[in-house]
Amino acid sequence: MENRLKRSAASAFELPMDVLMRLPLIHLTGGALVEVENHRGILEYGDRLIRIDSAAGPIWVLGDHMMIETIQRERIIIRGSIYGVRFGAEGE
Amino acid sequence: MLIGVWKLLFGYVTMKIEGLSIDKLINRALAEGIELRDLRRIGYTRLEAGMFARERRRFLALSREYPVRVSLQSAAGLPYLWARALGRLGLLAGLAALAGTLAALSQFILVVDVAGTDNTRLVVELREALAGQGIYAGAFAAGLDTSQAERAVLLAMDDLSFVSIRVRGMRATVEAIEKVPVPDMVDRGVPCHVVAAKDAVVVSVDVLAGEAKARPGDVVAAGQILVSGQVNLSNGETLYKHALASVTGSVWYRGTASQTLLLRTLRYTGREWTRVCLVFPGGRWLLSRTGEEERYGGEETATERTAPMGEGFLFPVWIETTRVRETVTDVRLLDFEEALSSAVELASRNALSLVPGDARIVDRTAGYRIDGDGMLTAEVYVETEEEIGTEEPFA
Repeated sequence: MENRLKRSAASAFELPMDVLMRLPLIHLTGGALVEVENHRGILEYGDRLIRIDSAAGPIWVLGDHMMIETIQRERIIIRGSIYGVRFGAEGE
Repeated sequence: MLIGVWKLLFGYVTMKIEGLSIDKLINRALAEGIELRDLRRIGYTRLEAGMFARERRRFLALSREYPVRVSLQSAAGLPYLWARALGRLGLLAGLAALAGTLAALSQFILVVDVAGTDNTRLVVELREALAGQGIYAGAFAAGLDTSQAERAVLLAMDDLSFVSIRVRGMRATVEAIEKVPVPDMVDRGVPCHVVAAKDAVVVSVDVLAGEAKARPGDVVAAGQILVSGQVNLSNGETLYKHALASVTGSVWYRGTASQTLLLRTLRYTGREWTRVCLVFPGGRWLLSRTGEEERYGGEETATERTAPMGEGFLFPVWIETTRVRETVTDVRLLDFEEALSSAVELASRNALSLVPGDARIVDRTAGYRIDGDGMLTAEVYVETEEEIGTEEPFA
């Protein structure tokens, strides 16, 4: 209910959803770097898969030789050969 | 780059975490505001994580709440270097001794630099005068009153108009400015003429006292009276005055330069050797050398000095790089226009070097001739307007 209200307000006032609903903001630089803001921690960490928890559900970062360069309360920077970013419980 | 400097300054540790709850520990660390860097999974139950040294204690305290084992993999940065150095008394004693030696040596002047004049005689006299004031290589510098030394040197040397002495570390830098001799002037009470200082064509004559003997357009020779101080009155009397006038004239300066039509240029063959030395007062150490030192039939030597610790630092040391390259001379027939342009430029420079600083250049003409031996000679005339009158007492 609260989320629906926030979504409606964001839509009506053209406010950024990442600010209002703390939705994850993802920057992808080529296939080498992913920066995720507004995360809620990591769920799984491997060099081929990193799952990050967020208000929009788990984020799956898929790639090879991945490593977390920096992890802070608000931000994660992942480096490696990244070939996919997916949302959802099963990454579908 | 910046993060690297940060790691060096504040210290950086890499921890190895082993266990089944690594993800939980990381999330908890995040919640506590601990920033983790360079996380690398090295196995299903093992992970490496880096953090700044100041976060290490908090992270270790948190890790005790989870079934994980945390060990230190590496620690780097100045805090750790400092901690390691503290445990080495010999090193600390050596550093203290070095600092003490430097401090003691900095109380002595090892180098005296004289700038501002190229007059060798003056430099020698100045060094003697400075030595008399206690400023010489090897002198004890503490308590030296440079202002008093400046005054004493100025009083001792009539040829100087300004002296500045700065002592910085082991280097004393002395800047001296030579006196410019004032032209001889005839006393205003003494009768005199105004005569031409050089051959010229008179442009203007403004007489303040005396009787004009030259008019604009006259050609005058050096020494000729321009304004006479001897004034004959109509009643037959003669007055003797101190002639005062401003007389300007056109003066021509000639410069010549010869240029062979055969141009010789140097070409590097590719053979060379380089020597790098550490130079300090009283000696030098060879640091490195490339190639074999030898004398070539034709060679070009370039020497460059840099002061790695800055000029005037406690230790006056320089890195001197000497590069010697073998050269051969190529001869080719020069393009006529190129040769003429080069000769005219040189001749012009020669003519301009004769022009006094207060003269106004009004024209420049150039010509050339080619001698029988293939030598091109350029002649440049620079026309100026300048003050040509000078006072001269009666004979």
